[in-house]
Amino acid sequence: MTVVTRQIRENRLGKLVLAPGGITQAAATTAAEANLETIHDECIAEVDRDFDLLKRSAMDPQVGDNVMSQRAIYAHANTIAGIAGCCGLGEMGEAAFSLCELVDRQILSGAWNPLAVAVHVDAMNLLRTGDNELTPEGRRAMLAGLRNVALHAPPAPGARPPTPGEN
Amino acid sequence: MASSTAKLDLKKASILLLEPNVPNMAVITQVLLGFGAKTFHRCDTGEQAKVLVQGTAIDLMIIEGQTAEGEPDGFDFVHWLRRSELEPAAYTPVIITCAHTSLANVTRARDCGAHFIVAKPLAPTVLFERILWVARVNRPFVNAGAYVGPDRRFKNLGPPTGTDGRRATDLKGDVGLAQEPNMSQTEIDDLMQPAKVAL
Repeated sequence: MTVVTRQIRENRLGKLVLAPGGITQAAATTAAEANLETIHDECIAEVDRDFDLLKRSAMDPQVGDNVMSQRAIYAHANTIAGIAGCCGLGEMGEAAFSLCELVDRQILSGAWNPLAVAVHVDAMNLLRTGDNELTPEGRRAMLAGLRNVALHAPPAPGARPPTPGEN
Repeated sequence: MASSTAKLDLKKASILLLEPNVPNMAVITQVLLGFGAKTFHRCDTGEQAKVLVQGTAIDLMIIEGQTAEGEPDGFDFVHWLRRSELEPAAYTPVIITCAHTSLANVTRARDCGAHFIVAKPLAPTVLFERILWVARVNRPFVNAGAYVGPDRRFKNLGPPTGTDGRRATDLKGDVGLAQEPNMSQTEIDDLMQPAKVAL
């Protein structure tokens, strides 16, 4: 029989960070956002680099049978989803998140749908280049459409069914 | 949610960052520098982090969950850490970061023994609040064999619907619909943990 133990441990972090002094949340977040501005270009460059690599993997004619290429698409989309919002490309990050969800489901289910991937790549292209006439409403509708595509991908065996409105 | 006047002092805190992606490492570092942190231990892999925690005192760990494909990742590192019996490293507060917060990844973060999962892109406000929460609320550590880590139970929701519960203290019968709005987390915290505030 498993013995469950439950103990309170010393919280060194609590003692350190809650000592008198320190920085207020408002000042800390303002300083953090100012610091992020200093690496804005570096983040944009990383998004572009990953997007180029993602497109290359997506164009692999054998991608449907090549799990390595599929995982590469996931990895690059994951990086973009994590960083795009830090450099003013939040909508592209949302599209990348949707692509992560789509590719994750497709890898786990083994059912690759190249059109569903292509529509994500095209949308990310549109959102990145910005030289289009998409209105804010149009962008929101496009992102909602991408989420819908991802949620309709075959779920992994044993996964719970998607909930309406789930992201 | 913390108020905007809540304060943190990270100047003396030793922080382990596990993040394989260079720009992502720059993002987390810049955010923490903005919070006043000075001491960082940066690692690219879980293996590096394992070596580090065995010889360095760490006060807070911020760990990317999906560090690498096909090898132990950030979730695995935290899972190992909690069972490592390293004193006091095994009990260090851990915040997992993750871009693709799928149900599977959130479940892994919960089950590996992390205190919190924070979605990327990192929002400074959210990270500040999570660090503050980890610092203020000393959650008990549970070792239940299959799970080792901070107590995951945030809310007492009572026994599952349709059952009478297993404890003598479990209330029986239908409770009925709520008559007023639920209390906010701040209101609950104020009741449970009276704290001195600066007015």
